[in-house]
Amino acid sequence: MNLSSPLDSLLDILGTEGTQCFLTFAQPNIQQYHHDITESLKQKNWDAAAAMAHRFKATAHLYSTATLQNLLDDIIAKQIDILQHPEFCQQLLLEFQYIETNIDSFLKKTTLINP
Amino acid sequence: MSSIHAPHLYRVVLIDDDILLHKLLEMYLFEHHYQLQSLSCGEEIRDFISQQTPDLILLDIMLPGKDGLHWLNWLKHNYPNIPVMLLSAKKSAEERLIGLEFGADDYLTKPFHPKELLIRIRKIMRHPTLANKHVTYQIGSNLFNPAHEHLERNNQLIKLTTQESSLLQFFCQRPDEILTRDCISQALNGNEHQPLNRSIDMTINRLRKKLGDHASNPRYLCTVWRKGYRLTLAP
Repeated sequence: MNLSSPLDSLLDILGTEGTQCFLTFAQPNIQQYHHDITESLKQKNWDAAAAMAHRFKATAHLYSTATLQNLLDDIIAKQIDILQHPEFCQQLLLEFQYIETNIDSFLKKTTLINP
Repeated sequence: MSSIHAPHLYRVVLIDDDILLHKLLEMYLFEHHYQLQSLSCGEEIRDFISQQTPDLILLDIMLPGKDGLHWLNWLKHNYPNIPVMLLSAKKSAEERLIGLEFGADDYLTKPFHPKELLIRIRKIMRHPTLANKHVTYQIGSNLFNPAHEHLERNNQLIKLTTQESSLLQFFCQRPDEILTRDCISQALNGNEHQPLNRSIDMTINRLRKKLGDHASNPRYLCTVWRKGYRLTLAP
């Protein structure tokens, strides 16, 4: 089975079944993080966005891209000039969509094998 | 006939408000014979620890309510023998030094790889003093050695049974606290105290004798009317 590289760390740690179980649990939480971080940035609530990015980063490094982790670092560091740039939220959206698609695709494949 | 022994599960408590980290570590550590129990804030530790003694506590610094450093200080004051590993998203050297000064046994910066956590946990568990191998307690003129299950008083060794030693160690880890029979039974036997079961009271009586305590007016293992018992280490 050809698996996406951002999930390799997680697969190495938990194995395929464990990863399936963890990501099934994590999927709605990741979507919630995406929503809450974006909303906080829109409302210019830098502290709330930084706190959420901090928490999300504790596990996100195992299933997300280096680009998303760099964006989270900018949020944590409260780099306001970067965070206010119109492209920042757009890039954040794309990165979240990328990992969500990856997770979705992984879960669909593994559910067929381990229903 | 062959018998299969389940591997011993070490009890690790994670105090952190990140549910994804809880889930990830619960699954990963279980594969390596560690049973992870999760608390979302430090305030929950008082109740938890009065019921059972974990082998290790993983304590996040940034917690809702009082922060992890407050709870580290509290734990090291009340339960000095339980190893604590601090977890923090901050890389501040000052915070790390404060944590280590307060008695943290290790410190791990988030985000961390679960394998690194496992290596550090194993290292802590192997450490002889932290594994409770050389811990002794002074109870008045008695020196209690849980590893060897004996008391030493006036250069005399007084042998304890395993049950007496376990019970006395449970008290020693919670000096001056009132421990109910329910809480003692939960910790030692994993079940609630049955009112007609006098085994705890009988073990207490035997311990009083071995400690050189007075049965009617004990100095160390005192009865707290309608509540339970309390150990005073230095009356």
